[in-house]
Amino acid sequence: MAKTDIGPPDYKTMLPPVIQRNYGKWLYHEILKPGVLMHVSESGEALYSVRAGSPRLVSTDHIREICEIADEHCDGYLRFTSRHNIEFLLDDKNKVDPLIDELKSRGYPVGGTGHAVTNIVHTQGWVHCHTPATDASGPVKALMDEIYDYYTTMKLPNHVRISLACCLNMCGAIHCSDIAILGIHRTVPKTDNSRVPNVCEIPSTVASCPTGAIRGDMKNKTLTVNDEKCMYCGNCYTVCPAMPIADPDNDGISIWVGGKVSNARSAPMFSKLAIPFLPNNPPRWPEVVDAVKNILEVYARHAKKHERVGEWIERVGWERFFSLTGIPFTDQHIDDFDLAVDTFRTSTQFKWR
Amino acid sequence: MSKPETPLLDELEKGRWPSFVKDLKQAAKKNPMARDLIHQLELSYKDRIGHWKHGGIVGVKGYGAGVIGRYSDRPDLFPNVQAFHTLRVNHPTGWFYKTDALRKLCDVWDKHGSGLTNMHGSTGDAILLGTTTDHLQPCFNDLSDAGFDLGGSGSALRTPSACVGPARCEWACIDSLDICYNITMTYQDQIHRPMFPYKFKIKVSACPNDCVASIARSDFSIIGTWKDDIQVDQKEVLAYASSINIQKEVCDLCPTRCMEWNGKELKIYNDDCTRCMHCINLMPKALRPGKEKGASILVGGKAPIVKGALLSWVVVPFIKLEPPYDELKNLIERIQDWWDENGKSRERLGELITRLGMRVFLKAVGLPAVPQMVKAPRTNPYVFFWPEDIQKEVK
Amino acid sequence: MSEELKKRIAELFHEKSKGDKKMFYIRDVTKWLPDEDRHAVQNAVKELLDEEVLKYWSSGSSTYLILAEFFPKE
Repeated sequence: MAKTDIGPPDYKTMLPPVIQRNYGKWLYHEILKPGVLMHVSESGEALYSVRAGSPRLVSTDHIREICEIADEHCDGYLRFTSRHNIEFLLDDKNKVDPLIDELKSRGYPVGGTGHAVTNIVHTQGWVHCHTPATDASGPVKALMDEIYDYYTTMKLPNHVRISLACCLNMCGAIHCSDIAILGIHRTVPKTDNSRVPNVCEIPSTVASCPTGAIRGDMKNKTLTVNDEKCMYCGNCYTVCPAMPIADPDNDGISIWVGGKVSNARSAPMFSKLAIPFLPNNPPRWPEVVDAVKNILEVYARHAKKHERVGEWIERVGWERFFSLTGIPFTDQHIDDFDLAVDTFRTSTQFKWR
Repeated sequence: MSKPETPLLDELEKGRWPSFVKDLKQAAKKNPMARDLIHQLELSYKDRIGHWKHGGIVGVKGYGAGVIGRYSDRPDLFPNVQAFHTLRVNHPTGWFYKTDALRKLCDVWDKHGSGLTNMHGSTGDAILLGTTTDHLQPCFNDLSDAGFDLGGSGSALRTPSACVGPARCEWACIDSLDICYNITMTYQDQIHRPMFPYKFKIKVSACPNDCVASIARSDFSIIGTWKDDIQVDQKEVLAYASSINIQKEVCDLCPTRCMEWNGKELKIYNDDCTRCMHCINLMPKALRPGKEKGASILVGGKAPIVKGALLSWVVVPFIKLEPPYDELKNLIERIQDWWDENGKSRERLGELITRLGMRVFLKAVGLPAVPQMVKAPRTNPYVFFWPEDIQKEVK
Repeated sequence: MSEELKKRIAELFHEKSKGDKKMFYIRDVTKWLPDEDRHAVQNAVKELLDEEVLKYWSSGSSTYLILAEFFPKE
């Protein structure tokens, strides 16, 4: 019988000696170049972190390759960042360039530090999720191929956090990102009446709906969906596989902008709707890639140094954001959920464009 | 030449960013599950819909969390992924690894699963992607022998996570790693045996930059801060003057305009500082957080389901956090207990506070109301008083 | 005491599972027993889970309880 409740391995056993010696004693840091951080301790010792990109969906072979690189260059010590980057932890400046050469020769991008686009936080998508409105790894790969140079350089006004969640359940909690890519369903689940009695428990399916949109029809042993109340979360499909929500022509992607979680300068903010719908167009989602790149580049051209996307938009106004990006404004942009009125304009102060 | 088997996915092997398709194919060379996965994914790319069904299986004896049941909706075409469950493995705090530990994880997963992983999942766990029902228990047993345990899922305490903290960051106001690890070890039962109304997340960031997004992604957000003055090294400030425009980039962007720069010396009116980190972020060698360090506690953050996304709200402006963290854990337990007693099924803490009112929450968990909790006092006159505040009989 | 509570909970599960509904939230169970201490009920349920009288059914985001005999087959 295996031991239970042992918890994760103690992180203290995973820290390189240079960190063990200087834990809590760091004085300052510098970004030596894209992807390379130097942290200096009060003892005078320095830690060099080299940050590399990862597809997040990695094979054990790939992990073993990362281990091999870490063993060769930094005594086997590494970490992953909260945005899925790999960080190699070195105790000697002379080890940095040979490591970078090796990473580059094996195809790893080095960067993601400072005023850059860093790795895209994302979810499972078609690879492993049961209610996705889009794929996750595919759009991320297509987009990162296109904005790669913003990862390996630091030429943006501030850092830009891009995230993707493949449906509004948001395993990725992307709702406070500079640019959020969100898969959306637009049609209600299609109940397969013939299968419901065999594969679904009607009361639990009714209870699974967060908005109370599902009614049980006990006489006919099936379920009905109230179109007006359904917001397409797919929670019913989770408990009742006879209510699939996927719809190839109507599922797609929405784009949200201007969120942040850090308290630097402005308070944390939610991302707001920029583009209500773009189609799923695998394998490279060109409409999504173009839209995100456009927003990123308009921001890069117009924002002042240190302004995050949301800070830039708050300064110039949303009317200016829509005119500069050329994104059409629609009635979907106007909130109609709880507290919607807080977002309506209550003054005559606005810009014409 | 034979026709390519996965022409759509093959497109995503091109380009400069590392390709997940390469990883899928790497795993598929050795593993029939990974082989069927890649073909099912190709079908999804063709059909533009997913091909997975959920199942309720948990599958590890004694646990009710850590496994997500997954089944193909086309087992006729892809029999090797008929059952393709996920295991969530609690990551070492701060996502630090020594390669021998990572290799052990790989060995277990090569023996029991598809050979595919996420490093890491959104909550922070290392995700082992895809195994059959009969392998769940043996895989768990081998993970346990290798020193790993499962993380949370369902109506449980989810795997807590923390920023890199004092292991590498000069801004750490609290030991985010030790706090996170301590909480994780204390609440193993809550993580593995779901008994809450819904999920509960705890995240620890050691400064207001909030690198683990605790304010947006956790019901209970612990964010490091300080109470006294920013530590200034004027010599180093002057040194920064050659590389950045201190007036424009630091003073003018300070949200409270609490700094003055005369070309020689930086003056900070600390009473007006709201500890946003901007000046410290820009001049780490010259400015440091104060010495009286601790954390702000905020609660209620969550993603949209059900009643809309929330950012956490300040409920304890300042708390000192030192081992064994009894005061913190006592607060967590009081809050969880109030939520457990009053929450409806699938109601997150933030939604419950919205429904019953912040003042009811504060009274129940014994926290005093202070101005730091609000952006502004109420504007509506619908003010309620506690019964004991009302004079019963007027003589 | 605990054995008696476990017995009552198991009986309640059988009684409530007579209709179509077989899956329950822990909140449902604590509501069936309003006079019992909530934590005692939760602990008794945990023991019933250990004894495999009950089983967890997880949607991934939330968790249900179900009598082992009704756990859906794959």
